[in-house]
Order: sequence, then structure tokens, then C-alpha cells
Amino acid sequence: MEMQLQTKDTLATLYLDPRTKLYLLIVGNVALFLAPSLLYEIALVVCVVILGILVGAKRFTVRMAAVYAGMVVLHIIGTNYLTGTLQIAIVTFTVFIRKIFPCAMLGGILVSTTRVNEFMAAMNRIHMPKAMVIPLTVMLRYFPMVHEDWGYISDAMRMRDVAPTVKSLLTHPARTVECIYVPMMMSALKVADELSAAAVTRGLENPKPRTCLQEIHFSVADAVCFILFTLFMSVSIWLKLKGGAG
Amino acid sequence: MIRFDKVSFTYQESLQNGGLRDVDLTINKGECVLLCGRSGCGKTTLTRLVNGLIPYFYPGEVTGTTYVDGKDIQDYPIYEVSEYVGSVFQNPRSQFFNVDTDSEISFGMENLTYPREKMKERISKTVADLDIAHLTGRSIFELSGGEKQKVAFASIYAMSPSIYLLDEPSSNLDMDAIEDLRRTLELLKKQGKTILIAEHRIYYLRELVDRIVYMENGAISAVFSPSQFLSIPEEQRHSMGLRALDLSKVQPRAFAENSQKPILEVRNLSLFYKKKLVLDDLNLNAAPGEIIGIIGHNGAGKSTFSRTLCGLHTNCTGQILWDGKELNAKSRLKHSYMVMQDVSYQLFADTLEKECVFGIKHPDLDAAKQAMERLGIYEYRTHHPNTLSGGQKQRAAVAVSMVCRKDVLIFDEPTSGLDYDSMIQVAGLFQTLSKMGKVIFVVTHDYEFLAAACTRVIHLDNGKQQEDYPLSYDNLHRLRDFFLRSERRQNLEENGK
Repeated sequence: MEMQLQTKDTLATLYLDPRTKLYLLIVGNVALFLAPSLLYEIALVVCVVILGILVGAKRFTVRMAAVYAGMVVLHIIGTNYLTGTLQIAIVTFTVFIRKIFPCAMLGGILVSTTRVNEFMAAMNRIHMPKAMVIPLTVMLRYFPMVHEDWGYISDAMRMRDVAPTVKSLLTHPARTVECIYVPMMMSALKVADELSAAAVTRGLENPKPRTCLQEIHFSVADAVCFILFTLFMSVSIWLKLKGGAG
Repeated sequence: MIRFDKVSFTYQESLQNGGLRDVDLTINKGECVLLCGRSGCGKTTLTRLVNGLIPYFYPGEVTGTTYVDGKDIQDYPIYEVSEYVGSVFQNPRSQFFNVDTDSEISFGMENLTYPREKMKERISKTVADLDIAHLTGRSIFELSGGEKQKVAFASIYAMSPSIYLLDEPSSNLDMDAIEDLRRTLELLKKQGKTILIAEHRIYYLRELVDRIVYMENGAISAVFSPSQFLSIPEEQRHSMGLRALDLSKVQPRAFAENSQKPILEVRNLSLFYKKKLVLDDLNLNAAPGEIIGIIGHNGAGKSTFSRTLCGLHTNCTGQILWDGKELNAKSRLKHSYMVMQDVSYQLFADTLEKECVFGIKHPDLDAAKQAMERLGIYEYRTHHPNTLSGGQKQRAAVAVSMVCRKDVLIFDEPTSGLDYDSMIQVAGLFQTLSKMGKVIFVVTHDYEFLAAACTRVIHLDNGKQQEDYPLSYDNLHRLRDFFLRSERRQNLEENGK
């Protein structure tokens, strides 16, 4: 999984306001969780994929979509052609992953295409207090760095013969998780500390509302996404309520 | 411009050393002052008093007054200080607040609420002055350490402070990036900016500094002019724990001839990254006990080579043999071990003792004890590895390699950010390993360390092995040529203009 921000080479064809993105993240997740049927869910995922490609997270979206498709196929095979415990195991597994996966995909798409300063400007506009914006921003900033850390840690583990593979995760789950968690934590603590020092000495805590190099504004694209995802959520909720009542 | 008036400071966290005792120092406008001394001597602390990180970010007890431009700095909130004082830190990776370069350059200005038009104007000026047009519109994840440092610098430059503070800015840079840093500082000096640098590696500042302040245990113990500093006899400089200001005076240490037969053989090794050829047709032999320095510019394939040697990178053709037997990637992983630049990534357990036997099915506890004793870290066996100092962590990683019986050790920049004493300790560690018959490779940009520790140098560049020579007194000029070449080339270019 490679997170990459839109740069000269990977320019987005569609620009969304960070406020819209935050809204989509919430509404999209609700819609996905309440999705009444597989077909409905797939329709929603297709929308997410189109969104991902349009906003410029092409590679990430395509890879995630491929994994999702695999899950769906596995699910269909599981329900229709398998029996007994194997069926239960596979179906539970795919249902679980299928629910989490599109949410992660949506989150990944939105986080990886949002500039840190745009996000801060948008949060300012909706009058989110600075005490909340700064930690959120540091989080947003740290996500893509996990990828770099992961490279080093996985190298280190392989040299110690405790390589992070599916096999080792099954045979030594605690040890494998510990190996990843401990250095990741250490790195995160150090980075957070240094990052804050660097930001504070450049005036991050100025109480005056900060300006932003890029203009952030709503456009037609925002409206379309807004309506589409709100509609999806409403239908999800409505069907769920109806189903629940009947 | 900056005045310290009887300043003393103790960090609240007792673990942090580097407090200050009675510091009196005046730095004039337009002056470039170098703070040097052993790790923990208080030089970084002094810079933190100027940018306001003390006591705001690092709490503790301050007595005395720090004046900037005649004003007591403690009276001002840190975001107001940042308009006058710009800070560049050690680690390029963690001073980037944004994920793309354009936003990063404007980050400080946004905080100071510059209007958009003014911001754009300042950005174009910054990009032109610092010559970084090629770095605009990029994602931070595709930049090298040196490039990140440049953008971080640009972000400060755009705010146009009158004082620049630099805390070990060269620690994570290769020599080309250091040369660029030098040129940037030259520009700032011409503009009449006041510059305060805390640094271990000081050779690049030779033509720039006006005064050199030597600190010991939190106090200023001497102030030198550059010519005074250059006349300090080498032995005295070493006992002060300082690195060289003039690299041409650095001598290699004498090594006994290595009479052992080669045991590691690399035959026609070509390395690829994805489908791109990184390094073509590498051939070398190495005997037990050899300490081989690998040098080359950024992107020369040094790290791909070391990762291949360890069996971590498998996209290659050719052969690597140990004692005549070919090693595939899997057996290379068993034979060799890399000590990373940031050792924290490879320490997993909660005590040093457990670390040494971590992940081994039938651990040899005696071997672990021996390894720790040999490396002088046995007394810390019950400590958490991450509470150890940088050098001790490095030794912990080496202890692991000894317990796992690795024969080939590869070090990635083991001396970045180290003072003279610690650097010599690493050289001593290499001696120990060499006597044990290990084959040692070290990727480094540290000229003084190469001279102090290595028996042989391999130079990789332009996708090829350029040179391979024993590091004797007669060959030292070749190494120096490599390190000073970029500086000379750029000076020539300037004169040509």
C-alpha cells in the first residue's frame, strides 16, 4: 500500500474541499455499515472507487478494489458452494473483512489526497478548536510515515529470523505483533516529539487564524458527492429501519 | 543581537543531561558562531533558550536572562519569537509538518498569517534564492534526506527571520548535501543574518564561522577565532573531544597487514531495483577482519548493495560465495547482519539480556553473556534497550549479531551525529569485531571515521564500482579527492561565472 499525495505527476482531476471529505468519511462509513444487501454494498464501493480514481489516489484505489473483489468472490463461493464449518469460517471471515475494507479504502483515499495545511484551514473554517486540530493534524501526518517505518522494521525482523509473514503471525502471534509494535511505537514517540518542536518554532500555536496557500472552496463536485453519499446513507438507514420494523 | 546573561538551566526530566551553568555570551548581529563540545555539553540547550523551546517545550529551571534584540525572550510567547528566530533541526525526516513541499515552504508563513499574495511572492523569492525549483510540487516521500533538509530550510527562509539557529544540521546529510548547506549558510551570511550553529562535524564551516565557542559540562570553557582553533595541536583537540576543522590534516591510523585469505567473494553481481539496473557487475573479495568502507554519492546503490549482501534485497544476478560455497538470499540472511542507522528499529525485547536471545529457539545464554561482556554493556543487561544511549544501542545490535553467529556485519552510517569520542569508540568496536574475524562493511559519509576505522575503501558511483583500494597513508589522497571534489567542482563553477 503506497500512500501518495497528489503532486505534479499524479494531479487529481477532481478537487474536493477537506470539509466535504470529512463529511464523506462519516456518512460513507455509516452507509457501508448499514448496507442492507451485498448488491447495495457493491454499488457503494463502486462509487468509492470512482471517487478514489477521480481525486488522484489511483494506485491505492485500484489495489484495494482488487482485494475487495477477491473477498466478494470468496464470499459468493463460500455461501453457494461450500458446506459445514468451512462455509461458516469463510463466510464470517469475508463478511467481517468486507465491512472493514471499504471503510479503510475510503479513509485511505481521503487522507492520502488531503494536504495538511488545507485540512487545517478547513478545520478553522468550521471553528474546530486548535487544541483538537493540532493532534488530528499530527495523526494525519503520521499515517503515511508508517509505511516507511514498516520497511525498516520488516528488514530488521527478517535478519532476526522472525520475519513478519502470515505463517509467523499464526505460529507466534504475540511475538510478531510485539516486534512490529515496539519499534513502531518508539519511532512514533520520537517523531511526534521532534515534529512538534519543529512546528512550534515555526509559530504553529499562533492564536490568530492561520492563512492557507491554497484556496479552499466548495464547488459542484462537492455538491455532487455530498448529495450522492447522503442519499446512500439515507437509503441504508431507511431500509434498515424498515427491515427492523418488519 | 543575542545575549546570554549568567544563564543557568536544569532540565526537569533528570534523564536529560546537558543543562547550563553560568553562561555569559554576546553574539553580534551578522556574526556566525559555532557551538561545539562533547555530546551533552549543553550546546543544543543553548539554542533552545534562543528559540523559546526552553522552558516552553522542555520544562526546567532557568536563572539569568536571554536577550534577543535587547528583549528578554521569556516575556514573549514562542509564536512571536518565531518571527525573529528560525530553527533548523537535526533530523530532516521529522521536521516536515506537511506531506508536500509547497505547503511545507509556506507552513511558517501560514502560521504567521501572511496574506496569500505575500506568501506567493515570498515563495518565488525563496525558491530562486535557494535554487530549489526542482523540489517544488513534490511529495516528501520521494525526497532524499538532503532534499528534505533544503525544503525545511526554505520554510524558515521564507519567514525571513534575522537569526538562524541550527542544531546539528549535517548529522544526516551526505557530503553533497553538506556542501549545499554550506552554500546556503554563505548566502545567509552575505545577507547579514546572525547564525548560531551547534555541531559535531565542523569541517564545512571552516570559511564561515567568526567565532568558535567550546563548551564543557554546561559551561563555556573557551572561545576561539578560526585561526586560533586551527592552531590547536591535534592531540589537544582530540582530548577536547572535537572533530577536525581542516580535513586535510586528518591522518589514517596505521594498520597491520591482513594476511588472511579471502573468505567472502562477490562475482559479477548486478543489482536491480524493479527493472532498473542500479549497480552493474560488481566483483570483490574480502578476508576475515577486513573493515571496508563503502562510499559514493546519493543513489549510487550503496544501500541496495548492503541490503543484497544481507539477503534482504533479492533482485540481483551474479554470485556471492562464502568459503567457496554459493550463498542464496536465505543463507545470506543467516550469515550477515545489518546495524541500521536508526538502531531503535531493530530492538524488540524489554531488557538487553532478552534482546540478545530474542527469537532464538535454543538460546546459548553463555554466548549472550560473553557478547555483552566483550562489548562492555553487560552491566546494562537488565535495562530496557530503548533507555540506552545511541552508542550502547548500537552495541546491543552488535551483541545480537554475535549471539546469532553472523560472520558479515554491515553498518549503515554508524557515526551520524556522533562527537569525536563516540566516533573513536565506534572505531574501537570495529577493531574488536575485526579481531574476531568478522568481515565488516560500513556505508558512511564520514571522512574522519573512514580514516580512523577502515582498512579498505570501495567507491560506488554511476552504477559501477569506481575504485577499490586499501586505506593506507599513500592512498589517503584518493579518499580526500572524493570528499573534496564536490566542493572544488562547485567552487570552480562559481569562479567560471
